[in-house]
Amino acid sequence: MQTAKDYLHIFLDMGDALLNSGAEIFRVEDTLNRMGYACGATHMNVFVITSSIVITMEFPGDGARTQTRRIHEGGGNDFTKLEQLNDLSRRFCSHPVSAGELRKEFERINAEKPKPFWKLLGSVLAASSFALFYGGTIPDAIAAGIAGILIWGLQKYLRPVCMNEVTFQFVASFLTGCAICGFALLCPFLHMDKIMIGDIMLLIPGLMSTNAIRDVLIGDTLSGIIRLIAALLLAAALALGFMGAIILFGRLGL
Amino acid sequence: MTTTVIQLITGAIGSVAFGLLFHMKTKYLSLAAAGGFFSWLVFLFGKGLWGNVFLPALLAGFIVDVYAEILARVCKETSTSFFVTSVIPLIPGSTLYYCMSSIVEGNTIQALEYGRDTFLFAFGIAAGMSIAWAICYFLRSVKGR
Repeated sequence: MQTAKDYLHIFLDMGDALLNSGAEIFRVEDTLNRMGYACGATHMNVFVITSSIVITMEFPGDGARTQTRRIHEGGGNDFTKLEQLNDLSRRFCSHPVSAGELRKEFERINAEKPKPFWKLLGSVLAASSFALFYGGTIPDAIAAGIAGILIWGLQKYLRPVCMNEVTFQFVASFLTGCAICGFALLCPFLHMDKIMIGDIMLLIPGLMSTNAIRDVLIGDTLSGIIRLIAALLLAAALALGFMGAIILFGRLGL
Repeated sequence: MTTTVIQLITGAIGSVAFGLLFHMKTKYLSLAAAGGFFSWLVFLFGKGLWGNVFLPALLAGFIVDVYAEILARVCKETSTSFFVTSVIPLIPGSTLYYCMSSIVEGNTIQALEYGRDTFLFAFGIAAGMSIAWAICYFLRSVKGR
């Protein structure tokens, strides 16, 4: 007979992975609730905010058990993983398996990492296309693409050693801004504003703020507010970084 | 006219690029492109009709979420992945930049205007998608009963 003790840990791991692959708060809560009832719990209480998960499970004949998990990573997006986790939970709900088997399947999904090459291609393509989108020329798009490579490199190598997301955002924006100002200084025919907008699209916490407002509107007020404040801080750090670069180069006589 | 065409095409490419960044399945990338194209088209249509930022963004957010929900049913996937990639061209990157450059130039009034637009964009999209989400939830629970 499986009990709460066996399931709680894997459920927390799944909730963690769901949050970090871009699932909404209500989706995580809903998924964990369903999975709990599917494996025979009489009561499930799941509370999720962006930085913590609390699960209480009650099995017949076995008292209630609670475990919490602090979530440290900021929410990234990995839709393939999200899809696979969703599929796993759906299969689990129709055919509950033991905690050990669930863990095996989960580990298999979690081990898969997206290829860095696709991220590089995505960064370059996004920066170039948005430079064109906002009225830049082809050389602008190419310069934005080169700065996109820089952002990709910073995200891969600098982010792990940065104190937190806001610091990274500031440093990355400042360095990218300096690089773009340098391009514009060397090639006067480039439009600095269009290139910067293209690269801002890669760093801007636009999805984060949209998600935050949506969380508030559909009832997860607390998570929404946490996310909104984080998004505002990130946007401010981004603006400060680019502004710092513009002012620095302005002083140098651009 | 040419700017519109360029924007529609590059918006679609931008959506695909973010699909790659967010590790979307390769077979759905064409749907992301269609979503990006569609969302900017709806936004431009709304802008022609009402002329400001909030209502067009709301309409675009609404339509895109309906599009994502339909695709989610058809492909048996989560609607989030379709919604997030389709909504990318609406992200207010340019207004944030112009807000920032106005601050650098010392033009506070213009900075406030751009800052307000940035916020209204985000709020409009989120409100539109929440309305669509609420309607879909309602329909689902009526059907389930």
